[in-house]
Amino acid sequence: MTRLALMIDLERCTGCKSCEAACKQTNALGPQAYRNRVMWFNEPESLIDSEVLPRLDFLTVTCQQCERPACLRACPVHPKAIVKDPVTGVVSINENRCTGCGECALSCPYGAIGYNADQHHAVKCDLCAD
Amino acid sequence: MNTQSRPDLPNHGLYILLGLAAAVLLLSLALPGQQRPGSPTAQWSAAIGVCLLLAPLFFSILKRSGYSDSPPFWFVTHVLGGTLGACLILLHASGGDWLSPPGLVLFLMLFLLIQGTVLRTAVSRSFAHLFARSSMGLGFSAPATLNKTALGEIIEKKTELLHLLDHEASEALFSPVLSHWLRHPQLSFRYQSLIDSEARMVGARQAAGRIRGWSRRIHMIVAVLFYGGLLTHIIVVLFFAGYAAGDSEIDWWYITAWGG
Repeated sequence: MTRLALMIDLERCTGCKSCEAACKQTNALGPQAYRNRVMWFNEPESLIDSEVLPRLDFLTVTCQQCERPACLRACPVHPKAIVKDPVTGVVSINENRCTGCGECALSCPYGAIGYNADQHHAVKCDLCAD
Repeated sequence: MNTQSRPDLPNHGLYILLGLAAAVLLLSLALPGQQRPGSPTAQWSAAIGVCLLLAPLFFSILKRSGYSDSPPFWFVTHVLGGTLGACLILLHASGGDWLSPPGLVLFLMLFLLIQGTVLRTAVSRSFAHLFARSSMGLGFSAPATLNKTALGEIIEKKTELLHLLDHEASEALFSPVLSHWLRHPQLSFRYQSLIDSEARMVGARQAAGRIRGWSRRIHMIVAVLFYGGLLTHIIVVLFFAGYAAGDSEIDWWYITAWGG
């Protein structure tokens, strides 16, 4: 298997959130738990020109599968509850080792670690590599 | 991944445990003078309570040492052991003086119970709101202010230090664990300082807010103070019973009465 990645063409994304819904359905995620999320951004009101249509942008936030995953280094459990596959590069959470301390969510600079508040453990995108 | 077998205490279970501790606290406050902390029943209550209160310490050590196959199981054990142990300690202290040095240890114990429950129920629920927080805060309007040169220097220092600390580990995936702290405390401390500098520079924890960012660390600091206080109390009543009793009679089992 080669290195895995998720490519998102932001020029073609219409912000429909279908990917978000599909991910939630596949991974049985509750209302506040995310592995990816499509954000809508409006032009700041101060910059809106009445002559030009206001801009609307979409950004899909999901794990970057970092080369130096801050979430993995922040995990206090040994062996880590977060692992990075050396072949595929996928960073995944072993939920059976996760104590739900939230250190990974606090350390991720992209805000790409979700949290299942009902079962008290972190969740994140693993590119459906299983 | 199958999480059906993953041990966990639901929020309502945590509230029930806290309610149990509150009921025992009210009972102990409502029955002053029924017994003294040194009576045989109260001493047995204290001894069993202390044994149960070691569960959180075991949890903390086992999850960092690699000797636990299921850290969530030990998390549940730490909650159950901590709460039931606290209940027994409250029964032990029911005839005692809360405005005394041992009383301070009791306040620390109650703080840990209440703050731990809030941390697991309310604060952990708010971790879910951290998802996509960076893009929510910045949108497309603000450029990243991260000083990448300074960050690179920190990573370089970490890499150099890691050769001494654990030459087989990769900086990208490494943080010191219990064995590193025990074998190389000074190097681990220096490495941890660099980790903290890097985290401050990235700013993810600060951006999460004080309550989310610091609750767990405060819980651990108070736990260390609590265990220190508990150990001191046990040493004083066992070996310095004369000092502990003051002008009163020593009515508990002790080894020596130094300091009388």
